Amino acid sequence: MSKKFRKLLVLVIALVMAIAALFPLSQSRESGSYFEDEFDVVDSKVVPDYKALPGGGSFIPDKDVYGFYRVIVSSEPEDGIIVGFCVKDSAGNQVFCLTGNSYDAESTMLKLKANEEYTEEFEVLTSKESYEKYVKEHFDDGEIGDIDESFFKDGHYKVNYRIEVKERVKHAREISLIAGFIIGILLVMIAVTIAKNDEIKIEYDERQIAMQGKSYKYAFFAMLGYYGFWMLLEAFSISIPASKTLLIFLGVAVGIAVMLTNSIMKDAYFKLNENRKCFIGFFIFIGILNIGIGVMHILRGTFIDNGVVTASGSLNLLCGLLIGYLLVLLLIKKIKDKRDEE
Amino acid sequence: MKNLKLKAARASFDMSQQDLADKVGVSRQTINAIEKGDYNPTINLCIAICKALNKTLDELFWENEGN
Repeated sequence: MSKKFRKLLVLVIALVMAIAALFPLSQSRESGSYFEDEFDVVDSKVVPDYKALPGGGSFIPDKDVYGFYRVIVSSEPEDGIIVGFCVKDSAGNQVFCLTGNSYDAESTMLKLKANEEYTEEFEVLTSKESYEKYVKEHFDDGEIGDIDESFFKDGHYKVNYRIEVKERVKHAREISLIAGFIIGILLVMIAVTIAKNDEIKIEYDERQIAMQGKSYKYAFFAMLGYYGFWMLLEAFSISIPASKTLLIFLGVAVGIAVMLTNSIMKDAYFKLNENRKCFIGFFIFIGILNIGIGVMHILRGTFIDNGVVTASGSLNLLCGLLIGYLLVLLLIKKIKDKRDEE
Repeated sequence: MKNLKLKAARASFDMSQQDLADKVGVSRQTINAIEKGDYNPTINLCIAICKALNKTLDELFWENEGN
């Protein structure tokens, strides 16, 4: 077994172990209850007559963690029913409430007490009056949304809902970040090991080292410019609708982009005799992975939260775009070199 | 300032930029940059190039009068 293969094997095992150990830690566990029922609404009254549908049930979180509710309610026919849904603690205090006709709603983060019993209440709002009454009773601002009269129709309905309590692991976000870094470093080490050829000298020549120095200088000034501009915006109280973490990372991305531009265009990015194809393949893989995760965040709606671009929902997309930019630069450089040779 | 003497010496040996680059252990772009006058090589690289082309430093890198 060659030295290179042994090293590669160790790195791959380390990668698998890192994913196996860190991935579950960074995930949230969730539990929930599911309920479905059929009933009739006759003369704006639910038949049989009940307020909270049976099976609403209760749940007890086993850890003192921030819970994250997701409630999915659907009804058939879809546009014919308005429901109210709320969760109360054992003292009867409401911790969460929403209304609507058919929704997949996620609440804000809620502090749930460990070993406290929470009860779910589900109410069918069969008239505009009952809807307004419910909103006034359960919502602090009591703002009544514009609900069409056509929602309050008599008929046969089938409803289902699911409430999920996501238990967030303490420091899950930090663990995710560390896991990302460790996995990233291991992947780079694997790519370097694959690309390495022990028989050929792989190093930068003196011009490349000098050009890299210039690239880092330009990157430094670009970052200074970016953070200076950001400071100015802050000074004039102009807020950017993006999280601080994202804006900090964006500054680093600007620096990296400037460094990449100068290094690649001056042919100082790859070492002499380096296996470029291997690295380009690696970049394509990482780029697609990051853009895929980024698009997933957009589709899930976690890219923007309350009108602000979130770091967790956008960092992958930013990384993917940065790698895409690197690949475009490499392509431009290749075309330019070919033209020069001709 | 372009280094035409280096280019001529390389051509006299029927060497491409890549051939010379491989011989002295630098990239083709580095040889190109030296010939175009975009990059001033270190003395070590100058000596390596001179040895590869069987020339002296004066012959390749010293400026002629009037240049």
